[in-house]
Amino acid sequence: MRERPERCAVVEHAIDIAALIAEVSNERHGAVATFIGTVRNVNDGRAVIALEYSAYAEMAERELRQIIDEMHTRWPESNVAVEHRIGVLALGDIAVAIAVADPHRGPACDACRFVIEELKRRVPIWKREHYADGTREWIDPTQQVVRA
Amino acid sequence: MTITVRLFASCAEIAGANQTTVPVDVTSTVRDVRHSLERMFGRELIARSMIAVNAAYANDTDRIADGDEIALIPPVAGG
Repeated sequence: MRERPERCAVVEHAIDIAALIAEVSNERHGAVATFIGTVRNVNDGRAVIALEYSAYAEMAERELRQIIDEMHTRWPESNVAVEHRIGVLALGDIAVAIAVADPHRGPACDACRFVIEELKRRVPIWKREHYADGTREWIDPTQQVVRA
Repeated sequence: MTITVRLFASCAEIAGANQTTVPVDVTSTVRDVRHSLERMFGRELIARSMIAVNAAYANDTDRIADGDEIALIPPVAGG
């Protein structure tokens, strides 16, 4: 049973993974699976110094809510909390965090994987890489990047 | 009449604005909005992008109604 809507938010503050874990945990659950996406320093051979995320926030939260509904139809016992941060993030900052609790470890891990894969596939959030050479580029995952 | 299309990310950068307007009439569909946007953004980028109506992904055959919130959704890159 879910007593309240599960957290799925686009935020502008630093993400607290411990708080998300606390939100999903209760005595029914024997497992908590988490996914944390962080800003890394190299993409496609280029030195990244920052990552700027932007979102169509109303639609992003709506899509996240739908992903959670789909998650519940497949893993009915799981509870989830997910946050995605927007703004300019530094190397190592947490961009996205997902916590899924379930009575058992299999569903917790599978549901967590499902949420991040669906988030990346369809939630209207975009990222612009800031490079060490001063250039910036919006990332299009559908494009093959060709380097001269 | 015209309708506002919200722009994000690479499209907002190309347009130099976070929205644009396209002409529509009572028979207009999402596909018509796509064709209008191709002139500003090119057919290739529009082909790889989605259109959202009232914060939900739309199909090309969906009709546009007065007051709808339209958004151009270039390939997403969250997470």
